[in-house]
Amino acid sequence: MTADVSHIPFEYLYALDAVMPLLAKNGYKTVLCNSQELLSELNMRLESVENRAVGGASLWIEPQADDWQAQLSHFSTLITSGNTLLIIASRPLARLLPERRLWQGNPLGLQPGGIRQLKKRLPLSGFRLEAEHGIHTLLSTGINSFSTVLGKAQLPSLFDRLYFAARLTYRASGWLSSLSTVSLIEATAL
Amino acid sequence: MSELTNSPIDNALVLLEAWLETMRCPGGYGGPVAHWWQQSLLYTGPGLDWRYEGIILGYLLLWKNTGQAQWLEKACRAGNDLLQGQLKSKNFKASSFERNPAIAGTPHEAACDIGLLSLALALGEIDQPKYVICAEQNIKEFLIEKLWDEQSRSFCDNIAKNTFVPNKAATICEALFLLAEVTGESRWVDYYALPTLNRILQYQCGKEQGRLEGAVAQNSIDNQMVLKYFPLYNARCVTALLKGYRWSGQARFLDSAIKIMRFITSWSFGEGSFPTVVYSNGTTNTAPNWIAALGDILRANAELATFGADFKMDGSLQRLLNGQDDTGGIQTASGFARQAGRNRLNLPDVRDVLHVAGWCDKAFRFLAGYVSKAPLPEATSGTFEVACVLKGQVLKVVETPEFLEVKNRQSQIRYRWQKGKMWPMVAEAEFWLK
Repeated sequence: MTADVSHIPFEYLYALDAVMPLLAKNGYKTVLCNSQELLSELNMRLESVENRAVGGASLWIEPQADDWQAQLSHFSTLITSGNTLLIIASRPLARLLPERRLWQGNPLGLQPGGIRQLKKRLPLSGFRLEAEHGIHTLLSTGINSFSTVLGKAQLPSLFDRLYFAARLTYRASGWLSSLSTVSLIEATAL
Repeated sequence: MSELTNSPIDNALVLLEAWLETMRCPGGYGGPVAHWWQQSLLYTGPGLDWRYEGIILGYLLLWKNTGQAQWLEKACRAGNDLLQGQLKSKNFKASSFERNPAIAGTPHEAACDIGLLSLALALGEIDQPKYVICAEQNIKEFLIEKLWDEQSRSFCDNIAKNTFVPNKAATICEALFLLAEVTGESRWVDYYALPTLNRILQYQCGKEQGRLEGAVAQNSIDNQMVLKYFPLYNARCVTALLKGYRWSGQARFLDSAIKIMRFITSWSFGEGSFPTVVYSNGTTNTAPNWIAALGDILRANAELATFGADFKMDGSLQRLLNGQDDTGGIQTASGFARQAGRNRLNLPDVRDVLHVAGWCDKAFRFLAGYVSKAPLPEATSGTFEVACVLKGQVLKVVETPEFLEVKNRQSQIRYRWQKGKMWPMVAEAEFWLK
């Protein structure tokens, strides 16, 4: 457990951890973080990872509504064929997270259809979409809410079992991924 | 004169120590973490968390019991990890165990302080100040500054000061007893530790609660008690209460410690295991069922025995020793796969068979107290392979001194951690487990 006061919703930390093996494996090429609030957590994780001039995966955090196309085309010129672009972006459901209400910027992913627009644009910019993960899915939120009710109803053993079930559905791919607070997209440069 | 022979504990201990060495990485002891609350299978770098309590105390016990300087050197090496990993905020890097690499972990930073202060006490005046300063700064600037609640006269578990977790507060108390001993200043105990211990007593079940008598509730949020009772965490209260008794002579602390152990042993299963949780309605949860962590229950019991309260735990010691495999590491648990449903495949979960530095330290510390007089044998960490399951998928885990690898039935690598590295080289999505 932690008494830390970083106030970063867990799904963002989870997404950062999830991309680290890919960034650490061959070193990273470029990291672009548009979210001031995630910078210290990102830097803490990148401390031990090599920055490479050639090859390596790249990471793009929280594309912004006003300049995402320009940033994407910048990535398309930087990333050479066969290398990976990882994108972490909020989804509209992230608006419900109280900790991020005061965050600055105008994330593309918070807008309805924002992630869909980005995914559509990927092939046009020379990327192939490899995978998309939804983190903190609506399903896990629902199970957690139900478990809280059971906890209040003095059914603690059921509460725990549902809590564990919620953990198993915390990340999803496929259609369930769109009903989540954070999206993690993996694309390869063609 | 008959030749001294090694005991099974000697053999288990040196093998465990050999495994522990394979977990060294730049900055400390690394490796993935499996836990009840959460997993940290992705961050595998050094964790400056409660593993340092057991590692430092274990090496100090080995040094004391064998007189061999190499063990003191390793205790100092671990202490130096903490010195080098202390941040400007006086917190420690990656101090949150299952939430690593987060900082400000509870009770982890207090447990690190216990390690540092015990090391300082063992060293006497030579080289002592740096470890004391490191621990004292963490205690003052984090534990007291951020977690002490003047109103309730106790250590809370968050900055909002609306949660209280007895076992974590107990760990802080243990650090404060040591700080008082090192500095000769009783205020650390009188002002902070004893009032906190008094609050812990308020969380203990009385006679009217039948089989729960003696159990300490897990925590409270906004003064609303969460009526779950974790035997492992209860055991971690015992050692602090005994220190409170030793310091103050107040019998209620000893009485409370005895009641806790009576509660724990009364829920023991035949093979020496305990439920992970006993709920207020008398039901239990054994998913997971700890193995390496039994070291802390055994240690609390052994300490209590010095006060004349002797509860038999031979089955638990055997379960602990049986949990050791060819790597020398002791497995984490059994039953993780049953957490959210049935385990139809009847194979261990990957998390069961993981060797976790922050669980094995507990076994290490306990076993180090019981080495025989015979010279310790040499040991080498070996290779371990086992079929297991994760989220319903059959996998094979292989651990060697160099790596930990998990493959599926098609021999595709799903997870691979090269020991010494901060992150696994491969971690497919099923390993992003919360």
